[in-house]
This record gives sequence, C-alpha cells and structure tokens, in this order.
Amino acid sequence: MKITNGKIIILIGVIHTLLTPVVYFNQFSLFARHLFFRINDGFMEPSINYETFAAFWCLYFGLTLFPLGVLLDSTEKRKMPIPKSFIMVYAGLILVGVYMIPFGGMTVFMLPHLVYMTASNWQNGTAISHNNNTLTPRNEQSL
Amino acid sequence: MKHILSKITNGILLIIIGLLHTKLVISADGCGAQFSNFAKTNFFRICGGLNELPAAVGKTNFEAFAAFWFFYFGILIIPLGLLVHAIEKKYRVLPHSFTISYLIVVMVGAYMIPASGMTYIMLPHAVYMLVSNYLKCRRIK
Repeated sequence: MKITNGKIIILIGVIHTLLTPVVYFNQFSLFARHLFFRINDGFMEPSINYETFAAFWCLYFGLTLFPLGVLLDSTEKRKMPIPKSFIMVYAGLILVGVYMIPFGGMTVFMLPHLVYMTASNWQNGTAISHNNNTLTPRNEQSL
Repeated sequence: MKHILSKITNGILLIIIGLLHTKLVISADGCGAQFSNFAKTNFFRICGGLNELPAAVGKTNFEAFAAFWFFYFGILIIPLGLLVHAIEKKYRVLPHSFTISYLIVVMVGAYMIPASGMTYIMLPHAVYMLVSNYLKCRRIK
C-alpha cells in the first residue's frame, strides 16, 4: 500500500477524532447521556455554551479531515499533481493554526506533514514537467 | 445566466460556505468578543494548547478553544473547496468515496446540532453534490 498525502491526512483526522473524546471526557460523557443528539440548541441558544462548542468543533475539525484526505488520496492515485492553489491555502491554514496555538497538534503533526507534502509535490511536479520537456526516443521519432 | 450558473462548481459552493462560516465566527453573533480579545495579543498564542488539556474547568480556557475550533473549521472548508473545484474542472466528476464520506460527516453534524448551518446549508449542498455527481457519472459512462 502506497502512503499518499491523502492517507496521512486521514490518519491525522483519525488521531484527532479519537483523542477529542479523551481530552474532552466530561463534555462527551454529557453528550452520551443524550445519545449525542442535540448537544446544544445551535441558532436557538441565547448565549454560546463554550464547553460544548469547544468539544464539538474540535471533534468536527477532525471528522472533516477525513473526506479531505479521501479526496486528496484519489487525486494522487490518478497521478494528478496536487493543485498549487490547494497547497498554498492549506499551508496558510496550518500556519495560522501554528501561530495562534503554537503548542498544538498543528505544530506537532500538521506542519511536518505540510513540509513533506510541499516537498514531494514539488519533486513530482518537477519530474512531470521534466518528462514533458524531455525528448524521449519515441517523441523524437514522431517529430 | 445559464452560462454563469454552469460555471458554479461544488468547489465554489464549498468555498462560499467556508467564507460565510468564517464571517459568522468573527461577527458579533458568533465569537466576535473572543476575537477582539485575541487581537490584543495580535492573535498569537491565544491559549496554552496541549498544556491546557485534558479539558477541565479552571484549567482550560473553553472560550478561546471554542472560538478557535469554530473558526478553524470554516477556513478548512476553503482549501477543501479549492481541491474539489480543481478536480471538477479536470475530470468533471468527483470520487463517490468523497461525496459519500462528506455527506456522512455533515449528517453527524446535523444530528448533533440540528438547528445549525450543517442542517440548513451544508446538508442540502452535500445531498445535491452526491446526487448531481452520481447522475454525471452515469451520463459519462
């Protein structure tokens, strides 16, 4: 099985999702009492319940990494280079996270992966453009 | 008009959802007060991060964490939208594994907080994306 950037993002998402109920144990115990249904009233709440909100959005960020990883994995399997616009905006997202919470999972897990993804995609991009520019014996014959 | 509408991809819709979410977070109706506090330290080190976990009253700054994760989810949707847009431009269709997993994630959110943007904005879009993508795949085959 080839390890793609998509699979690494899925793995980060799984780790994040599994750790959230552990670090927000008290909040998730309360959610479990209602079978995780309507943990808060959303728009209807007169004021934000920060404990619930922190636990929910932390969990939901991890869950959202899963479809992102699935999509990126399928892109890489099709041998399509990862779009530069995606890498740049994703890098911006990670750097914002690292800046706002330096001692967090963004610095420990996501930043090293971003560096790896940028480097590997740059190498692949260079290899693809090199292959396109190089005249192979077959190309030469067709010319 | 039809020409403009045909250019709107699911990726663009996701980017719009991400931007709307981010705007709500930093507005007074969302976590505007918390973001005003963050601005005092130039948004740098808004909380102790892993030092404040496991979460406990008195140890964890729940307000800062809630505002941060609420905000961070919105900006995550933007690169996701860019990737979806690039794939739709190149291949016209998205992998079913993505549309299905995205719908499941949105349904989890709608189940946990029914009166929210997940139910009123993201769920209709996720269903539309799944169905339209399925029909496109069938047409191409």
